[in-house]
Amino acid sequence: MRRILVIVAVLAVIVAGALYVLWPRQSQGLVLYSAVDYGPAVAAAFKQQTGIDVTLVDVSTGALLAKVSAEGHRPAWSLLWFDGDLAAAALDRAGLLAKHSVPDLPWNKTGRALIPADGAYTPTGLTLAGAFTYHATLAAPPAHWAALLSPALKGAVGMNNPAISGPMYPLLAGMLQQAGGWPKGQAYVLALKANGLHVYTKNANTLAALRGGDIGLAVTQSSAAWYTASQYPMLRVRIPDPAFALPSVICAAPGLSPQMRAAAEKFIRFAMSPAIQKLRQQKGEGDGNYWPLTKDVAAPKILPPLGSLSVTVLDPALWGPREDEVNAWFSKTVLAR
Amino acid sequence: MTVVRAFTRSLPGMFLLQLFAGLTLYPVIRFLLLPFLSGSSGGLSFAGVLSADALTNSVRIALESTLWALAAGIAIAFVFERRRWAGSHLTMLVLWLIFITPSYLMTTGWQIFFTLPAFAHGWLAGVFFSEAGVVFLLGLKGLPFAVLAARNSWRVIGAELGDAASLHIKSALRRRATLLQLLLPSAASAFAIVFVENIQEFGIPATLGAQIHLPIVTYAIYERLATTPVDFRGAALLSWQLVGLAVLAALVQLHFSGRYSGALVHGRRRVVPPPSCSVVERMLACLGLLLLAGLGVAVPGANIVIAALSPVRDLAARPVPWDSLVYSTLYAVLAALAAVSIAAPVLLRQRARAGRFTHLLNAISLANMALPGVVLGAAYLIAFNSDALPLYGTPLLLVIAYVAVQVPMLLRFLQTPIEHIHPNLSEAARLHGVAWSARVLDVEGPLLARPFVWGWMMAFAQVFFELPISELLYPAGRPPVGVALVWLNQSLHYAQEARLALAAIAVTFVVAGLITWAVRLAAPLQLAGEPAGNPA
Repeated sequence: MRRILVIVAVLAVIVAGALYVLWPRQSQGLVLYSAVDYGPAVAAAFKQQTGIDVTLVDVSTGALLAKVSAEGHRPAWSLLWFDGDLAAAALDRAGLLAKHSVPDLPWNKTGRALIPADGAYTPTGLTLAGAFTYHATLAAPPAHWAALLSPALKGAVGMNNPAISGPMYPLLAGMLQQAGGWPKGQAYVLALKANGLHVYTKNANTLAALRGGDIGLAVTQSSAAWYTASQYPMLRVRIPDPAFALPSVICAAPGLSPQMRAAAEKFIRFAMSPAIQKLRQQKGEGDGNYWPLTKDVAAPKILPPLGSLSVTVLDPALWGPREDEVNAWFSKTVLAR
Repeated sequence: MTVVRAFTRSLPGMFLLQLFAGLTLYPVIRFLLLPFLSGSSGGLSFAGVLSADALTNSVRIALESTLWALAAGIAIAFVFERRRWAGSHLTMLVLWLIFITPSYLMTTGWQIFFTLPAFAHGWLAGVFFSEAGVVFLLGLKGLPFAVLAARNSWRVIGAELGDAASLHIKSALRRRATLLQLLLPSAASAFAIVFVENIQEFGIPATLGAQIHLPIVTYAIYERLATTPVDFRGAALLSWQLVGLAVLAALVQLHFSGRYSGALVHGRRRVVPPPSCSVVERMLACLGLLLLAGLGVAVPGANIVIAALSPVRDLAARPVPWDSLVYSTLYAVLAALAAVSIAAPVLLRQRARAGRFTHLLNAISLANMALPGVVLGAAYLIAFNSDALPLYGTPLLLVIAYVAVQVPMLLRFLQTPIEHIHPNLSEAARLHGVAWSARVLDVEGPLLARPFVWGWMMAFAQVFFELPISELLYPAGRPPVGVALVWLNQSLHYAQEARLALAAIAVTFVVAGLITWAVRLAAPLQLAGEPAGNPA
């Protein structure tokens, strides 16, 4: 009996210790839900420079959006930072974002085009929804979307599932738009399927299939494409004509106290300052490969000049509300046996 | 006086049970009722979201994987309990490795194996990237449950019952059938757990299923969750299908448990040492171990180890979040302890007198098991993010959600071992004037210690690597291991991810070892003839 009592006492001490370590202690300051690689570096720099605490919740885009939707009108966050203005526009329509939080900055042309009329989210950098990553041995890499239907690429193209991978819906929407809109553009996607399109879960799976030679060309978000190509010298990246804008965005929560609102706006301005944008490019790994949307910062050298690309900005008001319908159609027809 | 004393003694247990019922009932029922709340139907209906294809595929895949896991599990458990074989400890180690390796890591390991040029386009890849691959991986993950459940029954059936059957039943076939009947409660308990775990599994079917285009119910639920803002009402409506299937599985278990269960551990029980394996049995056991170690550990594990050993290009940019190991250990210790503390009084009460309350609790807790983790996480977030119940964002809510998932598993897993222990053992001590506390610590405690410790370790390992609930509910700044692994994977940091995964597996082994050692020290019960150091 004595031994069992000793074990019970040890367990009680462990439980008490665990509770002590896990017990919430201090005010969290700004709470940043981040799904971008550079989130932790910017949060640390902000705290160091301003003394304002930033508690980071680092999650995938899907989990971030699920959390925000479930929290609804009682948000536990102060700021959101993720890729995808279509998703941000949908949150805005649901009344989950504060209005007029966009700072006055020296925006470039693309940046200005991405700012919503009600200022509900700030575009913080531009990536592209669909970049082609391929093996250097590929004789004639495609330059536009129609080329993916060529017999040379039969069974060789892979992409992520838009119903699971957050950044893929803008890609699917873009493909549909360039092929005539909705529902006319369905024909193009079905032709891709007929040409042996492979659909994987997420970027990691699609790019692993490319490296393993299972497919010859991966269509992924540009930031992941450049980052993978920088790690595997046998891979190359090509931006198709047209490419579809997939900006990263910061949003502030509605109903913040004036003090917290001011701190949130300060964070947004800080994140867009030239010095911090350079930090984002250096420490941002995959996500650091973005084109700046302000005139005072240069793009990373690895990226082609934005002016040399044909970038289409999708209308969030048009494509946002269709997400459910488009994804359901993709699952039913493209993923069907 | 006696009635008052008994009532006072049962108060803490009752309080715990009611607290659990409340914490479990409220969020899940609130979530499941979302589509039916006034003004929120939005044109949704069961007929609208029901897909016969998805439902049929989910049931078929879950049944196939559960049945192969059960058949293999019963055979492996037979070798453990009824034969002396030198490879038993190694087999147990392999089973533990399979159990604690999260399905997302195992699937990724296999996928990367099939990107190797030698295997990429062969017939094996063809089989793997088909329904057979999904069934194989789901069954493999369910195998440890099946083995552990069947071991309990094989052990208590013992050689004595075999001798009794030889004396009383002439036909060899009927004799074997009679003994196999005694396995039915354990098999049914393993069936319920593995089947329900498999119908709500998303990682494996999504990863392989997406390539073979196999629609399942959980995929349809995730589609609802992938829209922005998330469609919780649609997800809730679809979740009813999974709850219904889980209820059916539980009914199967209840039927077999009620009809065939019996108290087989009693004061007169004697354990006869098992015989050695015959040559054929030894060859079969070695082959089985080779297959299990190769397919369950070596192939997916080699990929993780190779990735962990590969050089990291820029460690400063994305350091490995080692602190997540500490947080996961703390969450898992607390959640597993709380889950066992809740499951124990329910099971003991059920053994003494299966009342409506325990049946109800059993039924309610099924919904928690059947709902996919991300749905359950959202249900807890919605329910506990209010002025009245402001638990969201605290470690407490995360632990509560973990407990709510683990208790149903423990209730099913431990039901048979508890039923096997005859209550007369404690009654005899009571008649001899042994105090209540001494009966609990000296009679019930040592008898129940092993199954409960196994239950604790299973709950610990599952919570340690849990992902979907953690992603939604983890308190800011204290991420658990699952979240950290996915964070590294999504940012394409495979080497850091593999190192963290290996360290996490090592931590679970260390904790499991420490607990096993502590329990042997505290409750070194050994029935006459039982080999020392029997691990379960």
